[in-house]
Amino acid sequence: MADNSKPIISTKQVSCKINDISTDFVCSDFGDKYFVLITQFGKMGTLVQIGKEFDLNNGETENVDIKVLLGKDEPLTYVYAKQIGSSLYGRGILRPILLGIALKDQTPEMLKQVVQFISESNIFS
Amino acid sequence: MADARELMVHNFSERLLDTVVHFHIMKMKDSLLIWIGKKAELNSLSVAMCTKYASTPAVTNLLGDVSDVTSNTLAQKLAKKLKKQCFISYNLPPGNNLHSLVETRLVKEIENKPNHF
Repeated sequence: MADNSKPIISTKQVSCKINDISTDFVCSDFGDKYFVLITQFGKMGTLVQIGKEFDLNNGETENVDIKVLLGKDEPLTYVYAKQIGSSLYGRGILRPILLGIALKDQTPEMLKQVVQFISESNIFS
Repeated sequence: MADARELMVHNFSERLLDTVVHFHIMKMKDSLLIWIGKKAELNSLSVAMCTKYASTPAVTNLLGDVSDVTSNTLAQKLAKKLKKQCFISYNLPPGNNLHSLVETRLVKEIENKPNHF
């Protein structure tokens, strides 16, 4: 039943090569949250929750609030999540994001290219 | 037999007890993300995987109400059945028989379309 109708959860996915490593990007709209997966292992990797920081006086701020749900809770994870979160919010996403991230190469160069890809891709809007 | 596409998404819906329940499955390498709900929301998330240390799969709640163990139990059952790491998001109201029907329906889908799991 309803296999051919439009699913309630819309998913967009794209694969590309970054520094010769095949990278999969998935963006699913879960209504109150977005699920974004950026993976070079084909797996979930580290799972991070990203939200907009809320200021009692000014309402929503530009800062992102990060919580590691699963995986390495280390500074680098926060750096990646913050950069990726900011660029996703820059693409017009307004709701909290669940980010699954699994990169083979955790260098600043890789992060730069991932962020670049997000800003150019059309799957995040 | 390896699938050419590593990430595969599968959606289906079923009317159970007057509720249209939607299923969203994302197959990843050696792992799965299964979302179950009647409207678009993601309020709970659990992950379970088999370990060599115990016969029951290890499980943890990642998101949502810790006291609601429906996601946890379902994640453990599926992790054991599929021998994979299972992320389960169960977003249906508690307190009725829906969860057992959901489980039955999911098992039926696994048997009918094993390549999606």
